[in-house]
Amino acid sequence: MRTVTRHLSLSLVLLAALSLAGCAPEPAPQASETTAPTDAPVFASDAEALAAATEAYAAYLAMSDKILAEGGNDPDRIRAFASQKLAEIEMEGYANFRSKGLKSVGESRFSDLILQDESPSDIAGLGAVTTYLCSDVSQVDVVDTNGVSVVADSRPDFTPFIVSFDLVSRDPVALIVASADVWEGAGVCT
Amino acid sequence: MHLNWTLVAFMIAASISVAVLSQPAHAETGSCSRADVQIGGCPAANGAINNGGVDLSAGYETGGGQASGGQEADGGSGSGGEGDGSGDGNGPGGGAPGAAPVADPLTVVRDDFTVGCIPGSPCDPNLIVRVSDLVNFQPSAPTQAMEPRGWSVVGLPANFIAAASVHTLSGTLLGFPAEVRFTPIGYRWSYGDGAEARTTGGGATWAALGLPEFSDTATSHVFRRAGVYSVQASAVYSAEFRFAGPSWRAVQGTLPVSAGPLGVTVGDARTVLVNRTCTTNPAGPGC
Repeated sequence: MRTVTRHLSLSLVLLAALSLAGCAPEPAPQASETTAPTDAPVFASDAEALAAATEAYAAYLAMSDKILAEGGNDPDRIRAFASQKLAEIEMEGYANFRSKGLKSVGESRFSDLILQDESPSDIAGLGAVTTYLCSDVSQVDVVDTNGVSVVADSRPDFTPFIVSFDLVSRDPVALIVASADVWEGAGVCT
Repeated sequence: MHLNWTLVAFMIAASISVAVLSQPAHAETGSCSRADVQIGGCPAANGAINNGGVDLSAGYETGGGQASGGQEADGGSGSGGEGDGSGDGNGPGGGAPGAAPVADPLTVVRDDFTVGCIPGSPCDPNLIVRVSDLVNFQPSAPTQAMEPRGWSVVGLPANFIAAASVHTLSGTLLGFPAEVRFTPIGYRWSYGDGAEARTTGGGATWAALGLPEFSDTATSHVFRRAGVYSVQASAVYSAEFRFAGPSWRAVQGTLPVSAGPLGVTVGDARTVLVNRTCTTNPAGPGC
């Protein structure tokens, strides 16, 4: 067993040495195809980061609306648009809809997306972009099986959120929603 | 839920120190699902730090009544959660002192409103920032001048003038991009002869005050002995911060910033009777 391991590591070292030797003479090595971290900025401008965040949040919101409109069925569809952590939170909401037979009617909206932070240097792309935005559910109703609204009287139609995004692809740039937390600050929902 | 404010303040303070140490870049706890957003069932105030080992779960209520606008208005309370900080909430330079009906939701939390963030991050409504946190913000030094310029006479007032203005700086506060606004609220003077003074204004020239030279002013000082003195003026700033949006929050404490020292030569003046001026007749009696 030990011999096998040693042989294996020896050959790996040899392989590495060979590949190194092979690469060395190249004057300008091309960017490799691996997922090696790069320091290049992800976004050329704040506007670009905002556009990517807007797109990602819109997609997340649309899918969430779709699942909620269908009573929380097939909830795994949200996973393509949200981080695992956020997806788990959303799953609980979907399960709640399913168990109570609730359906949402109408379209969620958002506005006033403001860039708070952009950290393209984060190697893993986690929290690459953080924004504030104003969530608008004024056009959304949630009804039970009898079609009676179950929306709480105290529900705010407009809720400020601080939303962070993870970078899941650099080329083309693609973001998913990492977290969406209620923001207590003023000035987001105008 | 009613909680002892002191206890809450203590818990928050403990949480902030942990949060700052662990440098949370992004709040990840307390998220509210879209389902809850739509129903209006986001849970009551709760926040938790998973990596710091400190959990905070509390509901807050302000003393004021429930406002119908969706958020409680209590603009004056500032950081009322802290025993010694309640006075600073009304700090000078507040964004819109006349706009009383505009609620500052940063100061209050509705019971049915989620605080979906780590204490100590920008979304924490009870975030307490002290001047010691403003390491990345260096307010401008005041300008300093005096009349007469660089000299004075024993027993006569010398007029000192310092000027500082409101200014806003951008930088990183507790790990988050923020703006800090500095407002001069007073001036401190150290005259180099052991005397010190505090004034609310920076003073003005005799001419601007409409006073004859060597008049007493709010910022004047009388040196009692001849010599060379180093006079140091400091502007005392109060500060406010904001992370986003128009709402400024007070920073606890004040920050003195010194101007460069000003050298003053103080001489004796004697009155003598001379035959013409000493320049035209240097050999005259008394010269």
